Amino acid sequence: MTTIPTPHDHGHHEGSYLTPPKGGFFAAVIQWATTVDHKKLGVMYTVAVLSLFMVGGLAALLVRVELWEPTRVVLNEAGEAVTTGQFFQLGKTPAENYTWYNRFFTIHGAIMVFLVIVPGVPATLGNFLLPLMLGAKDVAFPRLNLLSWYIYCTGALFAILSLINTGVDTGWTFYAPYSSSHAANTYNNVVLMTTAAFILGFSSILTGLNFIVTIHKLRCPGMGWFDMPLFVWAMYATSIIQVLATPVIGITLLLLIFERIFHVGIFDPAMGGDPVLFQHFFWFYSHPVVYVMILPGMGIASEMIAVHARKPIFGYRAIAFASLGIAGVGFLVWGHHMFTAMGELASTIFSALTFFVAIPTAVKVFNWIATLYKGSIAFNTPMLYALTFLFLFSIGGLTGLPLATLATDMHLHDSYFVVAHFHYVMMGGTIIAFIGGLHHWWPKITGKMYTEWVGMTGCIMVFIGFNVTFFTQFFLGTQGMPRRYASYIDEFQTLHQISTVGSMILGAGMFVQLGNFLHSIVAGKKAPPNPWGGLSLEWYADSPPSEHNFHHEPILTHGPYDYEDVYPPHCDPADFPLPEPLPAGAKHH
Amino acid sequence: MTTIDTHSKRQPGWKRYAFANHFRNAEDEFDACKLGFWLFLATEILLFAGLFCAYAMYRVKFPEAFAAGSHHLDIRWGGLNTLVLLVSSFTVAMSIRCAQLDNQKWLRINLVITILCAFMFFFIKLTFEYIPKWSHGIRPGVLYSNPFAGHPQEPVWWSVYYGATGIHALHVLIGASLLLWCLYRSLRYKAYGPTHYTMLENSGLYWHLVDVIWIFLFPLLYLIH
Amino acid sequence: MQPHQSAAFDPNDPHGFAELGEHHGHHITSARTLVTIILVLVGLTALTVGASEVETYLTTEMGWLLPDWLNAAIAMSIAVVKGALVLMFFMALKYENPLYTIIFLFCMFAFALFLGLTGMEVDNRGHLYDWKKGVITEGGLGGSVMYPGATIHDDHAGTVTFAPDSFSGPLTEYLKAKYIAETGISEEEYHRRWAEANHVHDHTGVLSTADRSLARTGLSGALDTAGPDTDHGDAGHAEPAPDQPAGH
Repeated sequence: MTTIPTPHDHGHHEGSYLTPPKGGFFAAVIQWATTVDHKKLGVMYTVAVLSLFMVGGLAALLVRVELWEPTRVVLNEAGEAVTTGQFFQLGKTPAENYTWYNRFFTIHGAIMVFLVIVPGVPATLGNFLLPLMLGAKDVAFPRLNLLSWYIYCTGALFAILSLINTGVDTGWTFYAPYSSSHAANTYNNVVLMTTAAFILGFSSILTGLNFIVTIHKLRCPGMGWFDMPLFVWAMYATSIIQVLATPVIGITLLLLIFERIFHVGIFDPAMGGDPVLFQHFFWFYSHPVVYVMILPGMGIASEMIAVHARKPIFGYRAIAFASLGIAGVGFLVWGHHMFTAMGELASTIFSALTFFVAIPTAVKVFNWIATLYKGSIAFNTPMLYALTFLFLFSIGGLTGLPLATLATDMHLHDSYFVVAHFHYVMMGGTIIAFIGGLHHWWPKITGKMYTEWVGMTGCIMVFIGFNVTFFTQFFLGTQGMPRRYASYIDEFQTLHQISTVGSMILGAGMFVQLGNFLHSIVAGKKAPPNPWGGLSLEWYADSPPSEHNFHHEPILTHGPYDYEDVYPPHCDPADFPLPEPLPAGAKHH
Repeated sequence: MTTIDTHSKRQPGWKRYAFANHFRNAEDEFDACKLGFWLFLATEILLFAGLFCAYAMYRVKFPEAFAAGSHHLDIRWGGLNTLVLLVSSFTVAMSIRCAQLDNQKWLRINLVITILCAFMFFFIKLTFEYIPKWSHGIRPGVLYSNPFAGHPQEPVWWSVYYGATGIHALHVLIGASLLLWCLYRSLRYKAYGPTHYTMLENSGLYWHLVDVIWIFLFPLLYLIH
Repeated sequence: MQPHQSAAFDPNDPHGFAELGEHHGHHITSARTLVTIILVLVGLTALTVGASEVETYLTTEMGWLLPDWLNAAIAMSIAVVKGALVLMFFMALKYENPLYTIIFLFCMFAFALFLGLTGMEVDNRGHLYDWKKGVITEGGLGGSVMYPGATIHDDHAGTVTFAPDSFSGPLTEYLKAKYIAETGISEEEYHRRWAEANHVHDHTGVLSTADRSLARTGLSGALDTAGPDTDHGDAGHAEPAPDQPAGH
């Protein structure tokens, strides 16, 4: 790595971006509230996303508690019929209690999708890392970045308002006519919640747009397209989807709000509309957005696996193009959400197209495994998360295939099989990668180390809890347990109870990790600039990085994964030895 | 990233402009802003895609309803509005050309014409189209109260009509505001000249997009029977 | 410390854009081009309006039966040409970085996928299972939507009574029933007014169909007198003058 002073360098060493300003607490609040620094914005997003993750997670735990036993009508001593087994006793009648169950799973779904997983990785780690990995001082439009943050806050506020105002019971998908008719929801919370999602869409669009321009225009000298870390490639593919798909959910939700208020009749059959058209509109965005959720997770996995296996990533270009391939194919498959409702010809075509998603996804998985093969694996928390990701995501991906098959989907549609499938992808894929990525870059973000054994314990607890919770749901689904029901027949009780126990282990594991992070902030060891021996540019910056990221504009002289040729920066070469030179004539591997 | 160095008042604004320091040069910044704006325009087009899609689906299903509804639109006002937008699109392109050539006077004249056209479009739309229809009970969705509907599905046509033209009219107002802001900055600072006219260029692009969308809405709503 | 870089490497242009010709300065479109384009655009607008008028004339006056796609195809082709001209010259896609064109084409691709696959599905729904066709009900079912001021009950046996429950059926049926109940006119008189309001001057009661277009003149003057003023909600106010001809 050569660094040269350029005319734009400040030429002096600045403090870390976390250095509080003079003027005490109030000045610090003003500084953070008005900052255009991508690192501070990334940190603020992380705090918001993790807080909302906790709210959504607690709602999920309450849903699992309700499912501990089915609702039964029994006779009490006086001979009156009473309902037992309802955990949500918030309504006056058993039917109202069921509505509260509906509200809680909607809270869980809407918060997790719109406020946690979609902005989760791009706005948090993406914001923090993208300019660092590109060797830039900031994203292309820093003030736009600040605007996206406030738009996100506004959207979150609307969502929370609707939740305080007794919540929405439509499920996070807002299917018409359920969401648009008077009978479905006494309150106008649907309008509040859709407005929230509409506003959050803008935040998502602006972040994606900002990232695309940053990647095009602010790569440091010497960095070509194929010198970018794979996380950046994943963010690029993600941003393309965000820009091309999100506007459609914007107009969909706007029309849904019109439908709710004026009954315009575009989606509502009561006025001559087509509810399946709503599903087309909705899933044209919401299926590609599934890849907005998972692609950044894949990017994080690529980074963690390459760094902690200390080996050049296998098939760099294949992984990069697979990201773009997933983004492209992602636009062709939305119809598989409506197999039971829509035309038969369209179902067949969408089913065939859906299988194509498996190809770039499998390319990535095989490349990660090939990277691990014969690598010098550091068995630490991020690596453990990377392996967890590989295992869970593979199950999630493979169980998608029976759902893409028309015949099996007729049986599995809207069952717990679907619930388990997308939790394996969203939670086992994205969230696990996100938390793993937080561990991986924690020293860079905060300048502190976390406690290794606690991190590993938390990861193992999450792994066990997750599988106990959701693997049982595959069995429930194949046996015919439909999703979104507050009660069930007695035969399912054992599996439901296993699942609930698993969810408690999962929740406990999450709190172990939270405790680890909090402890690290308060009492963690100071982190070196490059604790893992990484080679991409963020490891050249200080920990935590200085105000303008680098003291001089970096010039890239090696690829991000040249572990066999280059000593990592800021490291003792003895800790990270280069491989023995191969005997003349010997082929690698 | 428009930052004006206000310390030296002698120079016109476009010469005093200093680019944001995370870019390498002003050219890079201009390209980045324009690239960002084209991406934004793509999102705008896809926002209208939903309305075009709703239009297409219901037109294929209920052509009679759409023909019946379309018959209440006056081709003369629609045609006039098309011409108004085309002329304004031309003048905004001319004003950008004037900025590139440092012709401050005609830059402003062209901008003023554009803004006048924008308000004329909105005035025609409101006075001769929305208000008479609305007062006749020709309204979207459940608000529809005209007892002489040509087809049971006609309220849906009006929903699509009001949705598409309403969101388009909103864009006309946003575009006019952007151009007004450009005019103000041009009058106050001489902000746009050969080396710096990012804001004007992007506002112009936005305005052209508003025009392009109307170019498609006009035949779809007024001409197709 | 100055870098020892190869002569070809320019730190301000690390990717060699200058050599590839990506940065070629700002293109200044000539005034002659812009004037030509606006004249062509105005001409095309006249053409598309003219084509539509000619088509109407041929079907109504000459009685030709033109294929239903012809009018749409002509209008949309001209619109595509107009849009392309604005994009290429006014928005300068022809002269600018091709990246912008690529973005635009990707956007169009997404648009086409959305429209194409959705259209294919809606068009083909119910080929095997009839019940899938019933998703869209012409005019709507009413039911869960409360029409404004809906207190009319139509038993569909010629009796219209006022009842405090919502009207189930299409909104247009409800409005018709309400109008007849409020004005007390006969079915024939309603039909006469309906024909007047919808420009059906020959009183055949037929509107434009996919194959046959009628002349259009915008809002009918008949609506000026016939439209009920729901804002005030009193029935007598909306009483039309039966003999008044269409006002244009």
